[in-house]
Amino acid sequence: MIHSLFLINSSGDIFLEKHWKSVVSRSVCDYFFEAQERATEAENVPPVIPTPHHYLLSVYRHKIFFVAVIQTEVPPLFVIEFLHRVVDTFQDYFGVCSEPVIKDNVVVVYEVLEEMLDNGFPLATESNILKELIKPPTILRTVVNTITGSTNVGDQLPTGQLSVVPWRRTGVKYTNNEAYFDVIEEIDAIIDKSGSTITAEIQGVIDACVKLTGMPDLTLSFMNPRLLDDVSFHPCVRFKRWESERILSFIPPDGNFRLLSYHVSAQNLVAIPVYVKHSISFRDSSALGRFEITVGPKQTMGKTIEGVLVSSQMPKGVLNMSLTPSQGTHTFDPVTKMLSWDVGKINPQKLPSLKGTMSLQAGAPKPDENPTVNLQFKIQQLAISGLKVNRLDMYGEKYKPFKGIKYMTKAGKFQVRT
Amino acid sequence: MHFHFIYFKHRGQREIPCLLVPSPNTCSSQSWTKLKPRAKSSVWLSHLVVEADYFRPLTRLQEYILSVSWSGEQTWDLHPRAPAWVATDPTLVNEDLKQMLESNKDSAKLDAMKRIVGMIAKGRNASELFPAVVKNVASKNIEIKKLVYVYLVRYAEEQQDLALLSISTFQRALKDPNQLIRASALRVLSSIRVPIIVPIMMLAIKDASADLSPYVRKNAAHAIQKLYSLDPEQKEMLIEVIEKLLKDKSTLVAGSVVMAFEEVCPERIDLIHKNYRKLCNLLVDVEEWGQVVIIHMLTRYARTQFVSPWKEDGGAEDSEKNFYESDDEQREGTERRKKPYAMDPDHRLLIRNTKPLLQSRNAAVVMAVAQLYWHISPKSEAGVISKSLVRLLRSNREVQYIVLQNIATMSIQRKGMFEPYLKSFYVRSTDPTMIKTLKLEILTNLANEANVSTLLREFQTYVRSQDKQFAAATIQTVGRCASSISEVSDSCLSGLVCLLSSRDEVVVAESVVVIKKLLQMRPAQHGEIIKHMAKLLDSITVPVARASILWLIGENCERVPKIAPDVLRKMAKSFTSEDDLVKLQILNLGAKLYLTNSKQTKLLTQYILNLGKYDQNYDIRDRTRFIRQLIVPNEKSGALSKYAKKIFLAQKPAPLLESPFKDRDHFQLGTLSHTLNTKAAGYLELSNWPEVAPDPSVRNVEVVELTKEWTPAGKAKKENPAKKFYSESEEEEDSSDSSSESESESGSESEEEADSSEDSSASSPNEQEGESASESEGRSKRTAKKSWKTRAKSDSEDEEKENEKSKSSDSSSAESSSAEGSSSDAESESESDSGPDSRKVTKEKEGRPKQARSTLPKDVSLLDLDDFNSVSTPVALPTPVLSPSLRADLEGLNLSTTSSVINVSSPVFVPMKTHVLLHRMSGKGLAAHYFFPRQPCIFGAKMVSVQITLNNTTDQKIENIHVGEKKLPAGMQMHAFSPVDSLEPEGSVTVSMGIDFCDSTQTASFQLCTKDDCFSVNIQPPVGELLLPVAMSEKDFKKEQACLCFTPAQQAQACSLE
Repeated sequence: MIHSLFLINSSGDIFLEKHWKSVVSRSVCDYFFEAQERATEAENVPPVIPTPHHYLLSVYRHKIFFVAVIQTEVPPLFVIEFLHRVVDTFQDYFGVCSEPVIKDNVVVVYEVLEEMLDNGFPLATESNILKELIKPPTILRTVVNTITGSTNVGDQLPTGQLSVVPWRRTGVKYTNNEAYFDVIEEIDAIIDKSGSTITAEIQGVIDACVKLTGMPDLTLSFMNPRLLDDVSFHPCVRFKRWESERILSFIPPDGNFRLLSYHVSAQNLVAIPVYVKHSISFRDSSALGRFEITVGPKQTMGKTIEGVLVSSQMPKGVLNMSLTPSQGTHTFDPVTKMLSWDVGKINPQKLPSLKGTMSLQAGAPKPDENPTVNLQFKIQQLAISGLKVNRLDMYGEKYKPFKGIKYMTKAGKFQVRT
Repeated sequence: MHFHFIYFKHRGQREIPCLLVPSPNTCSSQSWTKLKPRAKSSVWLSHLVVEADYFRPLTRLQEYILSVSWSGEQTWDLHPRAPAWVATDPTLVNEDLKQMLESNKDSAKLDAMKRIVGMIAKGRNASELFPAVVKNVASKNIEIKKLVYVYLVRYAEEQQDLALLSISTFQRALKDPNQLIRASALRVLSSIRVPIIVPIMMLAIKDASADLSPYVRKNAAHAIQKLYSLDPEQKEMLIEVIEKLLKDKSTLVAGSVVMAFEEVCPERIDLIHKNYRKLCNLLVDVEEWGQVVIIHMLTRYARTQFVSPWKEDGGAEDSEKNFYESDDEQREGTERRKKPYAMDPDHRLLIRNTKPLLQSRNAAVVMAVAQLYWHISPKSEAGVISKSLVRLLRSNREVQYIVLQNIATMSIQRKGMFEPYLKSFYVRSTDPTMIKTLKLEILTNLANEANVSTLLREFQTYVRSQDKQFAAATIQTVGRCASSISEVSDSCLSGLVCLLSSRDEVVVAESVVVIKKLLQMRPAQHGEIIKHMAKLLDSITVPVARASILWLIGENCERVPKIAPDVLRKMAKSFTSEDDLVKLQILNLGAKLYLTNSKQTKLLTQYILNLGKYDQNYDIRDRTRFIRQLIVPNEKSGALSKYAKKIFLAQKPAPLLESPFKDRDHFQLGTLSHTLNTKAAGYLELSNWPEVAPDPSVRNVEVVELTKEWTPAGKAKKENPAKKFYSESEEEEDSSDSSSESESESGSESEEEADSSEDSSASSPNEQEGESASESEGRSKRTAKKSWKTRAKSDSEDEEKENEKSKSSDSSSAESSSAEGSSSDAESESESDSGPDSRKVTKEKEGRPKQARSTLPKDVSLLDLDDFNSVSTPVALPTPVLSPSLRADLEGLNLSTTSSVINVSSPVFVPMKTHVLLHRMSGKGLAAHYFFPRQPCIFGAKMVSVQITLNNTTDQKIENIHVGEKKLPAGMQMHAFSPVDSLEPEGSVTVSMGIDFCDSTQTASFQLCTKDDCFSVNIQPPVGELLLPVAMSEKDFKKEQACLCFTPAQQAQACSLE
């Protein structure tokens, strides 16, 4: 299946290669570079590139291209999903996934890649298992290893690999037993010029951090499970129990994991917590344009909106902008024409606004379209869909765990057309 | 002399050219210092030292391994530790590494190996170190060993002879007691691509495929593919191994072996027959990557083995398919429609078992299921996939790209599937262009009369987008909407005309092209538009647009008699500077005008023809010559020139504006070939449905001798107390089938759990599901009816399995048919009892027995034994089941409402689900599970029989297990099991008892005592366990129902309704 993997940085250097079958020459990446040149931006590089003898499938994350070389028919999503899993694993191991970090840890990277694939077919992709096979580097461990000569490589088959709960290792022990769940909802919305919602949907996830001793069996129930329209689970969740009772029952993996992601469809009316008032106008004759934007709260259920960040890609004709915000800071990059305004909290009494003028290229016709405004924000302690966790129970173990639940609403792809 | 730069590579990607060195033949360490710098940016060697010192505090020294590349491929390393930063040639560096590898200290070796791996990762050649590295293959240090493996796999192909030195180490390691070492030895051995060791590999694979550890067997499956790619001659032998591994019941192996199958012998579909049902059932528990491979394989399998489920629900969507079929076939189709289509139960099994996987977090799995539904499920059921596919659109851009492509193909054929999700495909300005275009494509496909106005409004935003490529694509889309939906074509056209005054050239050009196509489709009076476009010719520069306008004017030259010659005049002026595309159209225009209006344009045309005659492009010269001969009458021109007018001004067919995804549907969805729209290497064609289904019985698994022997007993459980003593031995047999590891694993599980003994490593998640589900039932304070309902639902999957099991045990018994026959009756019985509320549930269930009946046994031996295990009652009756009627006579008397027409029948299936009575944690090592065997209780007619399995999980004997104090609600009675004298460590024993629950779901509490302790336990029966299966005719049923449910008045009413 997957023949080779090349890691290419943004300047076009291949800085790591790994082959699982016979060696494929680096020159195969030339086709990739060609495609990269043709696509003006990194994210426009097609994920599948055919070459005379190979196919190049790539993903672009953290400013690195992960290019897999394959020779025969294989479901492309299989490879792409795997590459994303590789990136996730690196991130899990090293905290960040960047070129210098990968170069620093090239041996661990190599060992991990060796375990993840055998002959191009995924072997162990569960990060719990991998961490038992090859321990992630920490400062302490590096010191200990140099002194004692011990290694990062485990010599036992991870118990998870064979057990009925492959995602959980055995013999977990904690002095403080804690289970935290974060319900995070993101609103994807497109708001049109007049402020009415064109499309809005809620994508939610429940991320968990479970540090519990032994083999706990948890059940999580919701006050209003009917809200969840489409769900996908971590493999630990018992599907039938969900089907029949709408209760999440699972033996959790150790540590951080994503328990559930769900979708609240557009059919249910989605409350939009903010509104944007805007007046952006270009004039044909003059070289100046007016720009004004105000952000205000709408349906927030009494919570404050924080971390508001407004960004907008201005048309090419805009040379510079002179703006004054009523709060927060703003920047305009004359090269990429990106305006971003870090608003911070919204005070309903005194709405934040950004006013000023744009200087346009002299002589150039006025832009066809006003720029769209992208919005980011956070609302703590609120799940906008109204989803509420009812209770969390633990079976199978004796101790009393500390349980915590947090709600948060964020803007996902939140766009306002102007 | 050649000069080369040496680059100092800084961590921050800055490259500092440092010095010049000469080409290799003149290079020695001395000659370096004598070099004169050639460019300003280069520095002396002495400066280099300074530079290095300058950077030293900033980064680690190791970063400064410098490369000097000559005109050849060779790379020289500047040695970081050499005193004066002198460039040393690779042999010197390697010398150092060699020394480190040969040292006694593991740390030095490890350091060396890490550096070597670093070199490999960067793509530099480290093959010279092979002999030094290969010596360490037997190192005790596991990390060194692993790194040596990495090295070996990389370079063995180049150094075949030396690689052979390592083989014996692997052969030894293949016998290692540690399964991890065995597995990795096999992995490396099979990765060494040296043809000489093929026989050794073959042997190793054969051994490993019989290994006790499923992990090793998994690796064996991987090794098969490697060996096959190394030596395809081994195919026959490898197929044998594959055949063996396909029979493996471990979920760990399943994915890998199917992968091997796909790679080595995808044409040997016959190998799958016997394993088909097993694969379907294991699927949920296989790891995600394996699931993808198995689903793709099963899709192909299904298309060869089952008949099409599509004919039946035919409808409008099918008509396209039928269109291509000849009349005969169609008649056949209708004939077939007449006789009801019944889906093969195996076909249904696959569709049903893959459904939960739509909830997977792995996009590849979801896509695989989606394509399976698309290709093999009845069209009415394929709708379930759309929701999941739309969910994937939240994922990374690469995933989006692939998923959108597939949706685009689907949305052409079946619009309805994605229509509810129309808004999910709205484009955001932040999407990458390729995603935008795909979304647009889908929106176009989904457009219909109802939603087109919304869509057009949305498109208006897109047209103004800053991304001009996307804006152009939108205009195309509008054109397609206009052509396919006639209601809006006028408004689309006027919208496009408005765009002609846009400032952006790309937009205008694209609009012109689209308008041209639209006008061609409807050659009505659009003179105004044409005039407007003729004016545009002055300003517009994009060749395609100019060409389109010229063509349009030529085509309509009689409608715009004044403008056309003028346009030609202008064009004649600028002919030489036009693009080739435009020149050709000018020639065409000239020819058309010459034919219709030769008075005004004769000279102009001839002028243009003369220009064309000497054009640089031969296409244009060619066209000129052709046109001249055709239109200008001279003595040589043949008969053809008479028809010139007809030829040039013929009615042209309107172009069809089609989706670029139209022709993709002949590729299997979700494949690479589909994405590329060309056949990729190794693409396996999805065959058409067979006209007549091949023999379905090939999938039946024959009953093993041993099982036959036991079947009567297995059957006998229905009324028979069982033989607990056998259960032990069976378990042994069972686990000897699976590996030793899994045996130990299953030891910790309760041994009664039927599924886990079938396949210890695999099915337990399922198992737990069932278990906990029932646990909660015990707790739940719902009404009886409700809990029954949920139970029925949650069990549904299990039930079917159970059905299968009981069926399989029947297969050799003569009674099977009668047992089955009663199944549907049993259903109706339950209906009568649970009343109208549960009718829905029952309806749901009705379909099932039918299926179960035709679903023939799989994995018979094991399942049978499981059945048998869980059954244990004191007395063994070797006779098969009593016939229902006879049994009714004997024991069916306990139903108060029993009339003579009610026959108590044997249960159609008995759930293997066990409930926890006493958890091993709270029971000080004694664990107890109970389950309801659903057989008449031997202790009393009113009692429900309960079987309790006691497990000793401690390492000491537990003595004298008995029932202590009973705390029963009034009226309830209980017959305790006979005390168990002693239970060995790890031992388990099954006992049975009877409880009269007084037809209520009240809890029976009692104490379970050992010699030392007493534990309070309780049993609460689900309402269904209190019922007896009864067979009766429909008429009787209705009668009984009426008596049960209604007051006399209602009864009368019910009768009148009848």
